[in-house]
Amino acid sequence: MDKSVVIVDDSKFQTMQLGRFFTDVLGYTVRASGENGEEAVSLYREHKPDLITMDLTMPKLDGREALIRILEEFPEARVLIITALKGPLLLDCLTLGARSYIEKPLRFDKEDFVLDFKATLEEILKVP
Amino acid sequence: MKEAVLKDLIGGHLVRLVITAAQGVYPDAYEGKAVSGHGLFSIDSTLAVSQLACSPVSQILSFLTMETDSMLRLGNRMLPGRPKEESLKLVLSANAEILNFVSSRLAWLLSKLENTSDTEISPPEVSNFSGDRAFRIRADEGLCFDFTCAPHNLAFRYSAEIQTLP
Repeated sequence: MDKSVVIVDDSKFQTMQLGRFFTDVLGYTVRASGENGEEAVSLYREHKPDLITMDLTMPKLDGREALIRILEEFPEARVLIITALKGPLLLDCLTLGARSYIEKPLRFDKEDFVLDFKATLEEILKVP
Repeated sequence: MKEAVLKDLIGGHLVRLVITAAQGVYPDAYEGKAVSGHGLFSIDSTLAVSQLACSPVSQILSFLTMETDSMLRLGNRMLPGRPKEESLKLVLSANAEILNFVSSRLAWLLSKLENTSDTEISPPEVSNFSGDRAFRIRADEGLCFDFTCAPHNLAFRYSAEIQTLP
């Protein structure tokens, strides 16, 4: 069965790039996309996708707070952080329950990057 | 840390950082070079992307600006066939993504240099800094680099104001 994903990033361009990758390369169904943490929470609640990808630096509600709210309501949620941030905030998100992270910039033109991205998704989706 | 030290350190890495970020969003290769500043750098653009990275004692306010003609040409290369307005929005969003990557790395650098975990970055914002609203950066507190892709006549400018508390 097709996997489903919700993509949340305040960059429309990034959302488009990710959407194309999930749809065209991975065969996922993109259920919805949002551009801030509040939308991440409401879109997860509405669609309950197999995976939600989230940036950390976003307006209204940042990725960390959105992660906390999603996991409070849906402890089984698979949240993949996609960020350019390094350091304590990212580690904090992993401790809080994000399944993994992908580091920006997204180099979909690089085979190694695509393979790493796919491997990360496989690991995440192995765990119920 | 003194501004001059921070500025030199960041200046030494900026071109590589920006080009790394650009490779993630633009289809073409860019070259970067420092703009020598005397007095002031001016941010004068109707569609300037800006973002703040800060620690308790330092702040780096970054700007990415691109001429509208360049944005339209880039939009045609990245997203051929899209309506002009949509294309411009996506190029702006791509520019914001470049700035976001650079600011994230600068925040990380600040956290290492100042041995603090208390660094933050704001989300990138698009603002009108044209004409009377032009934002001016004192050259002794600023960095400015031009990035060009000559084969496709594309260019953008990265500028930053770096300030630290005494």
